Amino acid sequence: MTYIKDEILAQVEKPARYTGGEWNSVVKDKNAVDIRFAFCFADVYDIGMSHLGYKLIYHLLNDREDTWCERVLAPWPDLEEKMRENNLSLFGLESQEPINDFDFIGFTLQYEMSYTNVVNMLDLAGVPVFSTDRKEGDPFVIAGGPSANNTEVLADFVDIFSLGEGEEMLNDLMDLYKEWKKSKGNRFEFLKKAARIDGIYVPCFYEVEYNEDGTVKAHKVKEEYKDYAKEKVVKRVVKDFESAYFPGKLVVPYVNVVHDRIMIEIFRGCTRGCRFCQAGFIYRPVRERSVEKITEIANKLVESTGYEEVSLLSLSTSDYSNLGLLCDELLANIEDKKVNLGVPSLRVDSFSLGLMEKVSRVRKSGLTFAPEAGTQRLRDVINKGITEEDILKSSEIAFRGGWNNIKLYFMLGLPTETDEDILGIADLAHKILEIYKKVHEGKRARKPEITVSVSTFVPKPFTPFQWCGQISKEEIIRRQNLLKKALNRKIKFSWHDPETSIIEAALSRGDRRVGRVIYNVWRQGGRFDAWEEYMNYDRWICAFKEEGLDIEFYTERERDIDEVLPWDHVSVGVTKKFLKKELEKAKKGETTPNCMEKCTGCGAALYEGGICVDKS
Amino acid sequence: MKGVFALIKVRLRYAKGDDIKYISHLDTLKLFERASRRCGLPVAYTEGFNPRPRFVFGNPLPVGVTSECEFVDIYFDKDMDPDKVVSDLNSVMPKGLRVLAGKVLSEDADNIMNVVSRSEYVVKVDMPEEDARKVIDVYEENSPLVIVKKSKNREREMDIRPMVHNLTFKDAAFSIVTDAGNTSNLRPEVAIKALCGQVGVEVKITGIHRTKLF
Repeated sequence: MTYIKDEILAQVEKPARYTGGEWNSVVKDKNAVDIRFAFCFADVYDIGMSHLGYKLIYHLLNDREDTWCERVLAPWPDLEEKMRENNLSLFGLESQEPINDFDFIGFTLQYEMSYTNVVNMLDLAGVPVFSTDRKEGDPFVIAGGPSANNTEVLADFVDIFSLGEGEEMLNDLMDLYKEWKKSKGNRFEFLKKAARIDGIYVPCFYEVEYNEDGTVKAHKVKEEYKDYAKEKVVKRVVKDFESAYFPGKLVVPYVNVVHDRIMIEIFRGCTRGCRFCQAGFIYRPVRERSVEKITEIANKLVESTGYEEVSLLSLSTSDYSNLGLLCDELLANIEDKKVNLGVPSLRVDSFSLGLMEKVSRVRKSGLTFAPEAGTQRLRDVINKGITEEDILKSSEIAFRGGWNNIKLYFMLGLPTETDEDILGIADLAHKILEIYKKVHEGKRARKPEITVSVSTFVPKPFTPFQWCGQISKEEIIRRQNLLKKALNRKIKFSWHDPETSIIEAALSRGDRRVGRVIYNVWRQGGRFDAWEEYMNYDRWICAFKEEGLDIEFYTERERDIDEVLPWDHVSVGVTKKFLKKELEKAKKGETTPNCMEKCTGCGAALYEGGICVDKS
Repeated sequence: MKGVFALIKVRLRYAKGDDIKYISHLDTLKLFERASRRCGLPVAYTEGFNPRPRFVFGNPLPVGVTSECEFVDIYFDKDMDPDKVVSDLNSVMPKGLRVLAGKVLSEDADNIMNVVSRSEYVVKVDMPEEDARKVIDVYEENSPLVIVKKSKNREREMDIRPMVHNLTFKDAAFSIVTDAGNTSNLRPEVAIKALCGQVGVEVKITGIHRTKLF
């Protein structure tokens, strides 16, 4: 029986998002488990079910006999409206039961614009939205994922943060919970014990003091909790990635989701240290899986899911140490089962083009380059280890190889950017266009399709640019227009909505007070802010004002290098000292070698894993 | 279509129950493809640049409707025991989908889409029996039953009475036979709602189940 009745399901878009029962979904006897875990993804099914990490933790928890983990996704607004009309509450896909009496409600936080959905889902679940209002018997609300690293913005809503990689930490926490439940202890006792686990942060044990100018004066453990809570919470990592948990099966959705295929993480982390990129720092150290292990996982998953495609997942596929061998091995294993191999995030060079010819059955779709900045000077500032020559050479190889479709990604508003850098984007695009003409000179050729796509720089915590200001809305628009005018009409131009980037910036580097703004926006109807059709900029601006906060304080203000940052109590391994040094080098336009060339002492070596060990 | 080797065609009849009635026709095709790979069925593939497993499905079942008579033809490169195909598939099918029977057809047997022209449904309704009787009476008068059909940017009137072939009422449910297939297709609830409209009675449809294709 579905929790949402037929007469409602018949009226909503894609009802199969809500009915569960997918192949490999896990149904258990609720009376035979100790822990019921509602695992929430604060977006619609199609997005949540595309995330490997979400599926991985789901199966990890369900591999425990004592735990039943269920998936909970945000109902699309059409269903939410009906749920509220009919007093229905948020439910688990597997049991089709409300989640308000589960032991845990867990969120994986993948992007800041989903925060209003977090609040909305708690409310829909019938669980007190604020941590302080939760009583004995209420579920513990736990959050992890990349955005959880700046804990403070959601600190009012979350009881427990798990920082870093959840594979081992969640098992520790579940073991502790089971013991605590047996002991019939109170809520507070569990939080105290949980706070002692490595990587666990319990926000209610800390207090924040502010300076008169609004900056953080101190973020410290409250006197009475000194014995349990750590001053500095260090993110957890899985040291031995080779044998790290990987499920033998994955839920196979019925409905079309964004990424509907087997995804295998071939390595974690990125060696490259681009200075704007949060993923490049928070997932350090770089750790690889062996060809044999990946092949073993692929074979197992093809059999257990029946998927028609295996795709390699990482931050930069070309950096895998033996990509050629890996692809050959995988193809040899899966090709006769008519399974395709997808190799995304490749750097374009002759090797990768050959590889693409080999692996892809689909038509030559298009190539993407991410120079990120228009001039060498600015590319050096952001430490994007790529030269104009690289890009032009790669384009020529691609054009000669029969590609006519190239997409170039850039960021506007990077620190130190001038109009010259912006015009440099147009120059680069024009040079690529010229190369196309040269390659096809005198021949009838398809029209080139060159797209320049620009996003707006959003400064993120734990990057060397965490101190930098974002440019104002007017300035974003001016720079977008400057580029638009400079571009040849044969080049397609697309750009991100500036307003979303501004709100994202405010939430990314917010402090504990910004939680009130999220609550305010949610109260005014804010939902699905990651979706342009639902994001309402004025609602956010108004909420900042109503809560007595200045949004520009969070977005445009350049932070003092010695300022206490709201996330200083968290360590991702990479030290603040290293980030400061990187910022200094950025200002001077100096580059830093990547981890494969040389260890630059970022601090991640403390985990004694991966490349930090291999290279030393 | 015909290569050097003759292909073996197995026609399966399957049921879609309540658990998966919201899975669309296209998603059901995908479900079969993946299930066949899970149980290692040696399905034949199409030639060409982007080979696809060779399945031919019957008339699409509307979302929300259950059925006990859905059909799919699967092509194989070699002889297959249809009973084994049925049991292999059932071992890897999600709850709600059961393959009921299979038989081998000659390769040139007409494909399933072309053999079907009508479909029988049971439509459960919430309405007074008295009203339902009136609906049957109007149906039996055999007078035109006009609905307004909206297509892209125009509306046109259409008499759907010739597309309805049988209508009876028993135990709070209509049994109805309508056109189904490539040339003419009518959803049962459209016919029932139109008839109720003609009579001037309210109807609440609580379930639709396909019982036969012929």
